[in-house]
Amino acid sequence: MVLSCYRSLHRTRIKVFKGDTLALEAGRQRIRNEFMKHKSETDPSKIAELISTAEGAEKFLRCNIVQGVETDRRTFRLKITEDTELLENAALPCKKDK
Amino acid sequence: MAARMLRLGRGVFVHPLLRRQSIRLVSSSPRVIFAANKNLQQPFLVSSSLAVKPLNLMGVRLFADAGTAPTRDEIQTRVMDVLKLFDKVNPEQLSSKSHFVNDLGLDSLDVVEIVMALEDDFAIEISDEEAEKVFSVEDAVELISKSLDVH
Repeated sequence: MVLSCYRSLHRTRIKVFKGDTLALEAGRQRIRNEFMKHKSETDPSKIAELISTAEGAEKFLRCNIVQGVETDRRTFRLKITEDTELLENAALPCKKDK
Repeated sequence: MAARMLRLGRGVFVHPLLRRQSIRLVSSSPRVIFAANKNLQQPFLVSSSLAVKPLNLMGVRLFADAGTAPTRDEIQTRVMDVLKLFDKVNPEQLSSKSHFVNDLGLDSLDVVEIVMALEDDFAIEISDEEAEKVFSVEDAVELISKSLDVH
């Protein structure tokens, strides 16, 4: 359970930061450190809580991060994947309403 | 003289025929060549376009064959290479029978990362249950050769 969570975090990391060696390595360290922090945790409810935190982090990585690749000077191509959460733009407050 | 004349006569008489023939040949031969060219070109094009497809297929097949071809020894060397690149593995301690946890001093998280690196390297997918059973170089070689055969 914990290991499959660890695995899915790494899978997502590889997908999201593809080609970005720095972020890939930083992500690897961070994921590992977070898991190591709690390696002696024995309380099942605490473990379940930690797992759901990890799942939340995985979902955040997958859905709320887009990688931008600079294609030209000051132009970035965003890699929006099928998992990327796309929301309607929040309407800006209109002056007339005020 | 008469013979000469005859020969000449024959020669004179035959010559136009030959000429005509040769003219005919000359005038018709371009058409023939043209037609032959057309005939040649079309089948050539058709056959070449047909020939290209099987060639591509063969290429793909060869590639696929090369993918399934590696022997156990080749898989083992590749597994060892992946392991050598893993920063926590001491290449000197590594052997074909190494146990990841007992011999190489890795933890379960490292094992997960190694299995993922192997997945990447061999372009295969290892299910979670299978991945949790991999604890040594031998296990990995076994699993990889099995999943390469399946494809």
